[in-house]
Amino acid sequence: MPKSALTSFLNEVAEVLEAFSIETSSRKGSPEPRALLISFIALAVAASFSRGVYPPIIALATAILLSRALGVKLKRMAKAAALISMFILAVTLPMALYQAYLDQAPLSDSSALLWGLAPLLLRCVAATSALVLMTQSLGLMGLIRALRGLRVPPRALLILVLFLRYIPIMLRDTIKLLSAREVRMVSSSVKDHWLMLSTVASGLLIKGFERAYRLQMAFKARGLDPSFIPAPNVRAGPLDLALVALSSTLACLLVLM
Amino acid sequence: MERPKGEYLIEVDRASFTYPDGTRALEDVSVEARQGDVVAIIGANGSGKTTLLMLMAGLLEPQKGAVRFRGVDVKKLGRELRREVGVVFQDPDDQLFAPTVFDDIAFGLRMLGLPDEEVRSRVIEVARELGIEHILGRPPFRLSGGEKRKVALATALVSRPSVLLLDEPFSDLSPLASRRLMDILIKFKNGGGTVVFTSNDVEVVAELSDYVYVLSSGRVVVHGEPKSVLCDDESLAKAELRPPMATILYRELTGERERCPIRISELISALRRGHRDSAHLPAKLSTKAQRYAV
Repeated sequence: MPKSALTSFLNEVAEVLEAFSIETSSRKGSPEPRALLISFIALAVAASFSRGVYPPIIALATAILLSRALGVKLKRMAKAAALISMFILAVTLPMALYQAYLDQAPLSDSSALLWGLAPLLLRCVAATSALVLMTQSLGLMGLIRALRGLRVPPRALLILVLFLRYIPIMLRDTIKLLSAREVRMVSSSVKDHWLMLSTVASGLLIKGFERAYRLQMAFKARGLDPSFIPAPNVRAGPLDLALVALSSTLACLLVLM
Repeated sequence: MERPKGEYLIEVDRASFTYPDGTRALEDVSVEARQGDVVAIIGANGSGKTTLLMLMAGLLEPQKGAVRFRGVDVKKLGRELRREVGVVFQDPDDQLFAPTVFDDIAFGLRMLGLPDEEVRSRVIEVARELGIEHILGRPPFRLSGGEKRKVALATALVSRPSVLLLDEPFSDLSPLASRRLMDILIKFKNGGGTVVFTSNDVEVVAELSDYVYVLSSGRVVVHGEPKSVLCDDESLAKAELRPPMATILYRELTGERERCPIRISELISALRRGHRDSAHLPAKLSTKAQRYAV
């Protein structure tokens, strides 16, 4: 992999992960955060535990419809879906081919094996996309409020928010460390190049601890204490109840299909 | 050298702090700031300035002693402390974490539970004041060093705090950017705000501060008004610092040690007053020179 491709890849991953902590402005008349959270999670669960090709597609389509109704753009979701597909294929494709080789199966059989990967791929893509759409629909603050409303302990919430922000930041730091090494590369051999880049690991480990500590300080300095955030006192309306009932029923049907 | 007693807004009372690895950062340190004060904490690298500021912000807890805000132990203050005290870290990369500049500035306000419309108007207001309105939609990690510093300051100013704690805010800034930052801080002080900042730059300290603490190896070696502290060569040397250039120049030119101008403007008036052959010196600094006065 050329050096610039590696850093661009990491950049893209960071951008996708940032989707999980992006902030949105609440729209008038949008459902209560808890109802949205439960609905999207139900759809993600349905996509994960369903069988066959159609249930994940239906779950994904429903999540897209719901988020479009809330004015969410699909660009980030598409990026996340592409990234997840890449990961799944990178892991499963060699396994499938190796299995075909062990079985000494003809090429036609191995293509059948590859076709067998499609439901797995769809399940992963649909579940991830539903979660990205959920965070984009709710926004970071909406997510915190919804989870507080569901009585998630403040400390667990703090860990979740730290985690959501920490990974993209660490990826950006990794890019900096990689670039610092790349500019000092003299040899043009690929082996030397990868050897040099592998030294990032130790630096990253040390920087990772330091960064986590500083990020926690920065959060604290800016008042991030989920216990400050009161649980939403808005009572769920008929629209919210209908949304939860509909998505839960659909999720059950999709899992049982 | 005790300060006259008054009501302190923020007070560090005989605080000691040791890091988990055994590094003793502060020992028996007392620092106070009154409303409307600009307090400078100066000292060499590793003297404990940042740790002291983190204690004042309630981000670290002293093992001994106490930190009080309006007379109440900061441990007992939660949300109120965050609303009243704005913190700007030394490295803006440590401070900025949101996907966009807007989200970063708005973060604290959203944490305070303000409605969306108010968050938006406040963010735009502070961005306009600092001249960063055009970068609100950009990711913080793509900004230049100076822009990051402004955004970091905006994140602290946006919640309209009564105290600003700034860790080395003038490092890496060009002279004109330093001057602009000083103007912002003076405006904040004139509005009744209190500023506590750490620095190694004695020129900035001479220009901006009302009171100075000098730290060395985690202890306050001297404190007082800038004129008395910045002319105390011995104490400054302990902290690996020197007097301001105005003081050094005056001493070199006149051989006199009694008078101690710490600012360029003071240097010129001292020279005019003390020496007959200084008629060619201007009565006061030109506007341009005032702009470059740091």
